[in-house]
Amino acid sequence: MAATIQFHEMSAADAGVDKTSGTIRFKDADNATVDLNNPLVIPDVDPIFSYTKKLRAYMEDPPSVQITNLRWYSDGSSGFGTGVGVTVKNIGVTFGSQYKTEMSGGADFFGKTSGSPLDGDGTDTGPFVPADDNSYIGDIIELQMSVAASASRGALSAEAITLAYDEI
Amino acid sequence: MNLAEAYGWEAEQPDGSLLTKGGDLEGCVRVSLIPVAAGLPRHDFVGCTPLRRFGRGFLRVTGGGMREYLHCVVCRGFRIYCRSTDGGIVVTPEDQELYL
Repeated sequence: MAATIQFHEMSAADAGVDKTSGTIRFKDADNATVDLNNPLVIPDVDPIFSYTKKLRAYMEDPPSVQITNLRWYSDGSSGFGTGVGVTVKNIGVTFGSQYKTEMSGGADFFGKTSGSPLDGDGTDTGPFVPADDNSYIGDIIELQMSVAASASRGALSAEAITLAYDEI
Repeated sequence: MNLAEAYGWEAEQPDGSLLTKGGDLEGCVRVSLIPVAAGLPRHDFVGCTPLRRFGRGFLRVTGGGMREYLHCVVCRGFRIYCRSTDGGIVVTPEDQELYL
């Protein structure tokens, strides 16, 4: 039987909400609810930043042997428009509080592509085996949206994030 | 159905016994990808030198969950990737890592 892997939006190191078939909304509040509350408001001058989002893979059903080679990436093309950016980084397995000050050390999310992905198991290296069933696997990925004065008003269309993994 | 289970697989060893678990295919004389979901084609690979196999899942948030699941059979000299969504085959160089 094949494994079932999910990805979760995290609220603690080992607690999160399944977003495998869902949506992650960047907002000016620290919660995983997808609603119209707490929108990011276009600033007059300096950019503003959303609260960070943290994602992690979850083993819902185990593989026969192992899961390895976790990778996260975008489609390489931002549809968010001028003045809106998303940064991303791997923060290992240490969960820190969400924050809305500028992320340090992050990279452009849309620069992470299938050919140049963000490594998802550099700290929690695996391989992830049946004994890891019903637990979080791999590293925590942190994302943050920035909005500059040059951004256009209105709601944005969603962009995709892909988690790839190998299974035996 | 879990897209990762749209295909099963088996590999035949020289003595006729079958492997259905694991990743090591060295010495096998046939590798088959057997559809479980309706409408998918069966694939039987013979006359090649299989080395190993694995599956590769692609989950996409804001894209409806599992988008694709590839079965990969690594043979001497080339690789075979089979898409679980439609049974399509892609053959690549032996060391080609295919990401969608």
